[in-house]
Amino acid sequence: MLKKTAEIEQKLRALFQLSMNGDEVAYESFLSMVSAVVRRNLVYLAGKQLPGEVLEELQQEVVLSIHQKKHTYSLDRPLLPWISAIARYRYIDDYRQKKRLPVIVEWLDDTPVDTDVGAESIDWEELLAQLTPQQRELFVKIKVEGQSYVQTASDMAVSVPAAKVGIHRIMKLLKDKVPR
Amino acid sequence: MNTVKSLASELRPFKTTETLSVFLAKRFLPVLAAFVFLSFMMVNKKEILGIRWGEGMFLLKNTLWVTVALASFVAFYDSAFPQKARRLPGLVAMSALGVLLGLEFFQLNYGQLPAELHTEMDLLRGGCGVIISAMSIGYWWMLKNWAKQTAPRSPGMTGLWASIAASTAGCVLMQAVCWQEGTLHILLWHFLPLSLASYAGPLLAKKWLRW
Repeated sequence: MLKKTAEIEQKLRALFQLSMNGDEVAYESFLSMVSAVVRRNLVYLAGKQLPGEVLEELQQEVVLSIHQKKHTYSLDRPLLPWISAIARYRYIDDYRQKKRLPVIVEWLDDTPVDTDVGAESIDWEELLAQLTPQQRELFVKIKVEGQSYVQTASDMAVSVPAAKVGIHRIMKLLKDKVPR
Repeated sequence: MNTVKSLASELRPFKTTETLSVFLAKRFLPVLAAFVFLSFMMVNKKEILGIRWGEGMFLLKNTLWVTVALASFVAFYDSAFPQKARRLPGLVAMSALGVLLGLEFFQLNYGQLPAELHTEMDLLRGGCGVIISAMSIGYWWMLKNWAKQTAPRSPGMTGLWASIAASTAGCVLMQAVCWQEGTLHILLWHFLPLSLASYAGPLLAKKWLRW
């Protein structure tokens, strides 16, 4: 087991060093290996309680984080603990984010409660019509259908950071247009 | 797999982030050198109060402030990377800060406390606090911008170390140039901004350093 870990570490370091020079093939292999390592890490962290698709999405988020923060790795230190640290951070961050989501309150009495105050005064069709077709597609996929950034970016053939920036701009635009 | 392929296609040649020695040389030592230079410039004025560079307590306190600043800079640097988890710098910074605080409380004239407190509530004397706060805000902002490029495991801790490092750098300067040597003055106008920054820094960092 230890021997196998040492082998993976050595292989990953070699691929990482090649990637630093811009070798795309080496980097693809590096990320594929990292994906497998990350999955093992996440299963270890969460036990077997995470559903398949959640695990898949989290795994992609971690790989994306590793891609974005690849320059923070110090070559004089082991690589696997660095990957584990990022996976752990992402896992905890995801857990906290989900904990922050609003809790659905089950009312004890049958009094109808209007939870959608003001919503009827917003003309969503008109608001969405002010977006470009690509912006509309991005908004609907992420904010309405709840699709992940990675999946949407892949579907729309744009990079994930571009999708995130796009959503940020759309939200800002819509915020200004919504009547108060 | 699709994600891996698309991420790989975005690859450009890259370098890893600066090492600790480069970080210190670029972001800490120039500031420290400037402060020590200022201290030397102020020595003549300090001599009026009978304080000299060679005086034991003055030297000890300065050394402790520099130790806190240096150790908290190292702790800040370490906290900004996922795989660096040295405990020593943080421990050294906290111990030195504890000794400094202990020394001030030991030297405090408790009998004269109300009278001294009345004297300290002066805009001119409070200038130290304003300078330390202004310096720590500016320096903290710079450190925060640097840390945004990194991957802190715990943004709150990184913010805390940035606050301590930035305010202590201000305290190093004020310790050397401040004309007021009363312990209550040091506790009130030197330690208080540091404490406030240590409280606010982590809260802001949690918001701004998430990645």
